[in-house]
Formats: sequence, structure tokens, C-alpha cells
Amino acid sequence: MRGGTTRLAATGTAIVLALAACGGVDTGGGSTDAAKQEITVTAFAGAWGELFKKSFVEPFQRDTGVKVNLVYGANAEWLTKLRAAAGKNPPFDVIAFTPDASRPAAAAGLLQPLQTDRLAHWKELDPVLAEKSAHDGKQYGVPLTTGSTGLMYRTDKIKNPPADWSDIFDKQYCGHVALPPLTYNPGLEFFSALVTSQGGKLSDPAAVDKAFDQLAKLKGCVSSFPANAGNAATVMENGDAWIMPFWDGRAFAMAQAGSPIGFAYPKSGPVGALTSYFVAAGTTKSELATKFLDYLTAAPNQKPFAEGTWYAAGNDTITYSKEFDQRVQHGPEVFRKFTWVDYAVATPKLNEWQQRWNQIFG
Amino acid sequence: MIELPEEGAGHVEIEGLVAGYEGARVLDLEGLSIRKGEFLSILGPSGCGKTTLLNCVAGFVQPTAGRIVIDGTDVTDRPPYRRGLGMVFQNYALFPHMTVAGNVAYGLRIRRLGRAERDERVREALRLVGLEGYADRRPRQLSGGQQQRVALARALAIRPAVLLLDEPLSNLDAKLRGEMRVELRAIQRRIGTTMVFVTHDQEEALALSDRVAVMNGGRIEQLGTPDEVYRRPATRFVAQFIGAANVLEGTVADGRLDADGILFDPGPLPLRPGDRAVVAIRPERIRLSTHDQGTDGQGVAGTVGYRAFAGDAWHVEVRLANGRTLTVQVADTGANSADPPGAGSAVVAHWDPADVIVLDTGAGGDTGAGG
Amino acid sequence: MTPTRRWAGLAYVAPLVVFLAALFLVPLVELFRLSFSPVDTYNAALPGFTLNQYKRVFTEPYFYGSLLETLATALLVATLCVVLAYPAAYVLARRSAGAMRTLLFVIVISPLLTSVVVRTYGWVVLLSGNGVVNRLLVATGLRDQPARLLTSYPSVVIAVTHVLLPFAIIPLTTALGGLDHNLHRASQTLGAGPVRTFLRVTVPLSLPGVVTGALIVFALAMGIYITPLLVGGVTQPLAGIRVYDQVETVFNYPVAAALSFALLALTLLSTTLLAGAFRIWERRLHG
Repeated sequence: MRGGTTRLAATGTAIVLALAACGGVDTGGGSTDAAKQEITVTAFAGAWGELFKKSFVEPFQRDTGVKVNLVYGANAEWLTKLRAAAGKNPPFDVIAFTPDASRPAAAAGLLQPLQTDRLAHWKELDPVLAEKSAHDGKQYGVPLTTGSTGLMYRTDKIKNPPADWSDIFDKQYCGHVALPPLTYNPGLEFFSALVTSQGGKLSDPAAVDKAFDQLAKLKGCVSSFPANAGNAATVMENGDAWIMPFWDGRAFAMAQAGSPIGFAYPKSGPVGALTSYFVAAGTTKSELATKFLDYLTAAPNQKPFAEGTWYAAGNDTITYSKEFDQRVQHGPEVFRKFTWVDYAVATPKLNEWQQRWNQIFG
Repeated sequence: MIELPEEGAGHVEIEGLVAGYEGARVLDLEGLSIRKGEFLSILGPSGCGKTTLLNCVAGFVQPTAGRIVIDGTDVTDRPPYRRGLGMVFQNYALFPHMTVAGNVAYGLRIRRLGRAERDERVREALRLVGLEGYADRRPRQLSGGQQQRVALARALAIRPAVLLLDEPLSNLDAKLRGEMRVELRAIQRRIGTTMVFVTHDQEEALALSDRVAVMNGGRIEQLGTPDEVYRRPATRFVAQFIGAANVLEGTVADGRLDADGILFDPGPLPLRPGDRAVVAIRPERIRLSTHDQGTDGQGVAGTVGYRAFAGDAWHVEVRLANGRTLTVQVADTGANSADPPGAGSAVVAHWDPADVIVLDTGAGGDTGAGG
Repeated sequence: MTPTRRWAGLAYVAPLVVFLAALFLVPLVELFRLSFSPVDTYNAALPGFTLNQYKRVFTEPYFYGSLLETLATALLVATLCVVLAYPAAYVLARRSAGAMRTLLFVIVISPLLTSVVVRTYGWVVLLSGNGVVNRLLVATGLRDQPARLLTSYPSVVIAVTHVLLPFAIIPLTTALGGLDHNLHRASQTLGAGPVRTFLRVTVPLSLPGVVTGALIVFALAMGIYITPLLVGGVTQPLAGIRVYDQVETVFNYPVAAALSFALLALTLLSTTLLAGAFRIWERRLHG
């Protein structure tokens, strides 16, 4: 009976759609279930996230009995969701941000200022790194790890390791340079390095012009433009690229896995690539969040994480393994030499710069 | 290049044409000779192979054996576009994206005729089918009958040696069919092109053709003029397919044919007692009388099973004593004529012995194929 | 239809309408509103109304350049898809129903059964420095070093064409399959060989299918961004990628919204114009 079947189909469809609509909603946030306490923490996906879980989440859960909802993702979507929440009932309690995202978040009032005297390990944290997550005189975040952006290279293709940023322009590398675009952190970090290694600042248009003139020297020499970590690893490992601005931690991780990858810390100063953790404004779990941050900043916890990711930790009191000490440059003196991307200047100008960048390499 | 046929061409010889597989032969023809200028109908029920035969001649189906020779040239291995034939399809197959003139000129353009000649031929073809003013119309603006005429004009414009027609009138309503039939025959007579016409409608075949080939199961059962095929069917199948026929089998005894208890005069036949014979009598040749009308001793007694009025005649089914039925057609002779006897009436069915059609005689008599 | 039955009919449609309205129209309207918001120095949206975002979209080459590039790319991809789809559709349409035809059809549709990311990643693997294509080029001596195939515009066009090809094959197959067989036969009996029959009969009559396929591919190509992003990188000058970029890296949603709507408007306008042009052409051809 045609009428009956149509009715059945319509009802069925309606029910399915309704369920899908309900199920797809991100309920997020900590539930106020008194029986079991929990907080929501964000982390970057992949091996990083796995190690994060082992180093921080598991000890915290073990000791406090508080359940941690680990949410994997990236800067952009966390910022979007915080903006959508507008400071009330945020979907996360503790969030990871790099400086390009934490600045806008703090400025928009999406992050809660920290009471540093309530943090157990505040004094052990490196001041240079900690300052990067301060805004308008208030401290918003704690440094987790920092990487250095320098030159990652193939040890089997390049016999004399590069010494400084300018070495990337060496003609013998032409055709085997990978250059991340400005919209990917290492790309902007490299550009910033070009400006500052000439003694200029990102806020100075003349210095920026000079950097673009330099960049133009690479025209025709770039073999790929990796826009994410996966791409970057691929082009280096398959030999497409011999040299590329990237982070020390990733480079060492690849070397550890057996690839012929080396890393050079540029003489004029590597660029800092910091990951810090923040507390969302409007969260009902401030106490628990602060407690989590304590576990996050504890030296015994940060040590395995840093050694596992080959990134220098924010806690200055850590004694690293010999291998780590030999490979990774770290410590307060090193951090003081870092140059940093001035995101306050860079973010508004990013489109315009990317356009000029495209004109060179398009 | 396609050879243009000369005037008076159009002789087709088909030899030993076989199509289909061993055990599932769609076509198994010993031979067929189509004379130039004749209108030949290929008649048969669905599945008899008539369409396959036409498609073989046209070149759309490759026979597994046999030859097709047109005007002395063996075209069996030639593709359809190099056989110099024309074809008209049941669903007209007019090119919807061209005008009537465009359709008719299609074959002429391919033959690279000059513009003037092409236009003239298009005009001539449209005149032939009575559609002169329609050159700029589109096929979808035409009625079914008009479309078929354009299809005809299109096929004739190229002056083919032979025109193949695949049930061209089957999509038209009965009245239109009758009209188109007459026109088609007139056109054929006028231009003299050989036409091979496939149909399942025996009335059409009889009315139009110079000769009729009756096909069944992939073979030709009889090839003859309409008169021959109707009045002297060679086989039981032909007898029953063309017109209807009451077929009776019997043994000769006492100068009469004894068909399961029905005794009747078989007519002038050199039969000896004991011979078997298969005969047929056309329904319209049987007359019915009621008892009080009296007969001259001839005829078979029976009861009317049913009768149906068909406009120009009555169809009456008569049940005989031995259980068989005779189909009788009683002409309606006018407003004042009497209706035939109603259902249940006792009647006597009788006929002129000369109307008895002999289909088969004796043991191992000729099967009569080929008339 | 009695009034009760009409209301009953509406009741069945209501859930779907509500679903569409709530989860499609409402966000779209919100996004439209957002495109008129001003931004602060950190690119966060502020309350208020401004045409500045649209002004940026239409005056900054970074944005309007990408709109024009996207238009050109979509036209190119639509053309390529139609040309490539034709032989496939022709073969598919001529097959009579059966196991072979079903198999061919499944092969044509199977790309649509996998996610576009998976399909695109196949191209990334193929075109990488170590991939099959480059290895062939080097092995045959055409090049002494692997070519930079990824992140080149031609690679993007090829990958997008491949991804959208099924959308052209399907309507074309339907159109070609719907053609009366007797038309081809008639053409042949009139003396036209296979090539001529194809050009004079098949192609003109398949035009509606061609147009449908072309328009579908065009509309999809205007908005596609995943494939160009994965194959060509974020530097490809396509509007979809720039929208993505504005959200992911610059965090400027209002201008991303403005660019999205500009792209939408451009797509609607182009599709309408193209469809209209095709209709006029068809009418002139078929009368």
C-alpha cells in the first residue's frame, strides 16, 4: 500500500534526523555531576597528545581521582569554540595555545588570569617563557614546552651543516628547499627570523620589504610548501627537501625514529615556538584547573614529556638526560636569545604578506 | 562511397541465411528472392524471425551463415551505411534536433549533393508524401501519421535500391493505418522502388503486397501472392494465420471424409478410401441453417456456443456432436437481415465442397511450402 | 485533497523543514550577520554594522583575485570533466543491462563512496617526489630529477577534475542511455558511418546531459577547497582555501564570512548565467 509505505518512510526519516541533530551537539564542558568530578583539557593530536596523556593526565587522575576529558584538536577550533561560548560555560576548562592564538583569546576576555601565588611551581618556571603568556600586565598561562625554530636538514645530503639563517639561500640547496607558507607557524617564524636577523622589526615596513627581497632569492629553488607537520615530515623523509625551517623537537623525533635528519640552531638566534596552557574564563572548575596546572608544571612530569618530544620544558629546574642535553639547546640563557614573532603586528598584516609571498612563489 | 543504384535496380537474393545459435536458431532461411520493383510483405507472429531477417538485410545483425546479394553485389560483409538501402522504423526515428527538411536532406548531405539539387530532392520527396508545406516544422510538431510520412520521404530521398519497412504502421491508430496503407501502395507504384515490408497484421500484408512471405519459427512457410496464400495455404500454420481456418483431419471413406465423426464431401480430390487428409474451411464460407430452413442433406449438425457481433459480421462458435468447435463468420447483410441463431440453438453448418482447402493428403504428401 | 489530508501532509514534511531551517538556514543567516561585523586588532568580531569586510573582499587582490581564479578554475574543471566523462558515459550507456554494466557503474560511482580526503590523498601519494609518476618520469629518462608536481596548479586541476568526474559521468550516461537506438540505425541506413552518426546525431542529442553535468561540476568546483588544499597547499589562489585560511590562521571570521558570501553570490550568478546561455543555445539548436 503506497500511502502506508510513504508514511512509514517519512516518520522514520524524521526520527533519524531528530536523533542526529541531538547527537551531533557538542555537549562539551564539565558536567556538574557531583558524583564524579571531571575537567576538560585540550591537547594537540598525535604522538604529542599520547605523551601528554601519559605524562600529565594519568598522574593527575591517579592522584586526585578527577576524570580528565582529553580533547584533541588545534588552536583554531579551540579559539572558535571559546569565542562562541563568550566567557560563559566554556566547552573546555584548560586549554593549550600558542602565542598567536592566546593573545587574541586573552584580549577578548576568554581566558582567566592566573593567581600565580596559588601555583605550586610558579617560581620554577622560566620567566622569559612565562612572560609570553602574560597580557596587559596579567598572567594568563604557564609554559609547557618550547621549541626552537631553526633549520632542519638531511644529514646525508648536506655534508656541512648550516650555521645560520642565511645558509638556506645557498645555491647548492636550490631545488631542495621546503618553505612553509606564512600561514603555518614555522613559515611565519622563519620570516620573522629573516627580519630580525637583519636587525629589523616586524613592525617596520622597510625591514619587512628587505626580508621579502631576501625571500625572493629563493624563487625557483623551493620544491614544496608543507602546510602541516605531516607534510613537512613527508617531504623531508622522501628526499624532496633537504633543508627546511622547522622545530628542533620534531627534527630530533624523526632522527630518533631512524631518519637521516639533523637540526641546526641558527647563530643569530632561533625563533621561539612556545606552547602554554591556560584556564578558560567562566569555568566552574577553577580549583581543579589550577590543580591540573600544578601537575602540568611539576618538574618530574615535565621531564619525560620534554624528553619524549625533544622540546625544552618550561620548568627550569629539570635535569635532563645526557642525550637531551647534547642535542637540544635549552635553559634560561638560550631562551633569552630567542627571537619571537610579534603577533600583535603580524596577525593583521598576515593576508597582505601572504599575498606578497604568493607573488614570489606562486 | 556509396554506389547510387541505377534505375530499375533493387533485386535482392538471400541465400541460406542463418542467425542465432545451434538449438536456438532465430533465422533459418533456405533462400528468398525479391524481385525488383515488387512490394513484398514478410508476415508472421512475434518471434518468427521477420525482424531479424530485415535487420540482416539492413546490416544491423550479422548472420552466422548465408549471403545477401543486392543487384549482383554480395553485401553480407558490408556495414549498414554502405548497402544503399533505405529504412523506415516503427517509431519513426526522426531526428528531433532537425527540421523536417533537415531530416529529409540528411542522407543527401552525406552524399555531398549540391545545394540546389539537394533542395530539389527534398521538395520532391515531401511532395511525394504530401507534406510540401511542412519543410520547416520540427518532428515534435507533427502527428504520428505525418511523422511516418516524413520518415518515408527521408528514406526515399536517397533513392535506395530497396526500401525496408519495419512494421511502420503499427504505431498508428486503425483508421490512420488504413489511410496510410493506401498512400504507401500508391507511392510505391509511382516510383517503383522495391519495398520489403515486415508486419504481423495479415490484413495489411494481403492488401498491400505483390507477394507475401509467411514466416514461422525462422523459416518461410509459404511465399506467394495474397490470393495464393489466402485461398491455397500450403500448410496448416499458413491456413490458420491468414484469415482464420477451421482445420479438420480425417480419413476417406465412402467418397466422404470422415473427420472424427463429421462426414462431409471433401470436394474433387483424387483420394482413395483409407487415405488421410488434412483440410481447412474458412469461417466466412460456412453457412448456418436452423432445422426448419432445411438443407439438402449436406452439412454437420451442432449447437451454437456463443455469438458476437463485430460490426460487419457475426462471429459464431458452433459446437459439434464430436466435441469439436467450428468458427463461423456470418456476414451482416443489412438492416433487414436476420441475426444468426442465438446461443443454444440447434443449427446445421454447411459449405460448398469447392471451398474446402486441402492442406495435406496421404502419408508423406508434399508439405506445400512455396505454393 | 481534503483539508485534513493536506495538514497531515504538512505534518510529515514539518520535521524536515524544521531540521533544514534550524541547522541550515539559521546558521546561514547568522553567518550573514557576522559578515557585517567589524573586528578589533585581534580580529575578534565586535558588535556593530560595517561594510568594511565586503569592501576588503572586493578591493584587496588577495580576496577578489581568488574569486576570479576560482571562477576560471571552475570553468576549466567543468570543461575537462565533460570531455573526459563523455567516452566513459558513452561506453557505459551502450552496455545493455547485466553484470558487466553494473560492474562498470559501480566503478564509476565508487570514488563517491570514499571520503574526498581519502581520494585526494591518493593523488598526494601519486604525485609526491617519490610517487609513481615521478618514478616513471625519472626511469624513462624524461627528467633527471623528480619534478615538483604537488603544489603546482596543474596538479590541483587534475586532482579536482578526478574528484568531480563521477558527477559528470552520471547525468551524461543517463542522457546517452535515453537516446533512441533507432536514431543511430536510421542515420546509418542513410549512409552515415559511425563517426558521422556520433557527431551529427549522438552529440547534439546528448547536449542536455552535457549541460547538466557541466553545471553540477561547475557549482561544486566553485566551492571545493579540501582537494586543492591537500594537493596544492594553502598557497593556491582559490577562494575556498582563503576562507579556510582566514578562519584557521588569522581567526578573522567576519571577513571569512564576507568572502564566503561573495563566493556564494558569484556561484549563483555564474550558474544562472551559464544555465541561461545553454538554454538559449539548445533552443537554437533544437528549435
